[in-house]
Amino acid sequence: MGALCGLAKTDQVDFGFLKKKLQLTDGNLGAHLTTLEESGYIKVEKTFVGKRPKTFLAVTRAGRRAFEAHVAALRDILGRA
Amino acid sequence: MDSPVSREEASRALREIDQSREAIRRAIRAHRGHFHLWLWGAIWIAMALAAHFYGQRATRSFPFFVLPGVIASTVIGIYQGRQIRAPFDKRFLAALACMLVFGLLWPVILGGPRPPSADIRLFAFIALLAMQVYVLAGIWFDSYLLTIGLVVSVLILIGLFVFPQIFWVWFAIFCGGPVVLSGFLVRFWWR
Repeated sequence: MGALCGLAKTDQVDFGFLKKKLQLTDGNLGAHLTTLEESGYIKVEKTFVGKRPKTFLAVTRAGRRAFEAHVAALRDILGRA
Repeated sequence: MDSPVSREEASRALREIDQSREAIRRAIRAHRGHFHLWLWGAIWIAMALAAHFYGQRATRSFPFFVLPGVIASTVIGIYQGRQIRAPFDKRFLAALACMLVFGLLWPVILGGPRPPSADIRLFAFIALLAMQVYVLAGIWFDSYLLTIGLVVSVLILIGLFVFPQIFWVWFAIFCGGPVVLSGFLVRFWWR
């Protein structure tokens, strides 16, 4: 989610590209993404580029907001004495 | 109340978030259009230097600079679009096409072969500029503006290049007239 929140608001990223950059396996990344999609935090678009199937991912507004709240909560824990 | 997440766990989670964010930011930076900027900056430099050193005749070779540039830009765009892309916006492309087509008309209207006199050309240019705004507004807001913009633009061009001797009469009847009629159409029958 952190990686996806690094994208511009209108950008969509390819599944394979994200997997490579984050050094994750198909199954690992896929499981994360399914959970995020079910929560409405990301939008998954399956399409074809030429004859090859492609999956593009984008963060929803709710996803961005939830992620920022999550980071703030983690910082809050660290900030406590 | 104690948090179920310890300080160490929170710290590790933030570190991992920063790492993944940085990884994707690095990747995004590689998709921010710098190849196009390098390419077209270099092409402009090459064209300008060619014209400077080889004179006017070098300008004839400009298509040989521009065409490979367009091809290279397209290839870069296609390659990068497979990894990170922005949603396809048809209206934006249509607006670009509109600006390009009207932009190609300007030199023909203002600098093309005579006879249309300079005042007629200038008037046609300003009228077409207004019609370009109609077309752009039509692409963005409502299709009737697009139709008026396109139809009147074609009529202005016909008057300018086919009937330059009777341009003013032509313009009054076939350009001003349709605009007034469109006003009635929109006021009484549109939707």
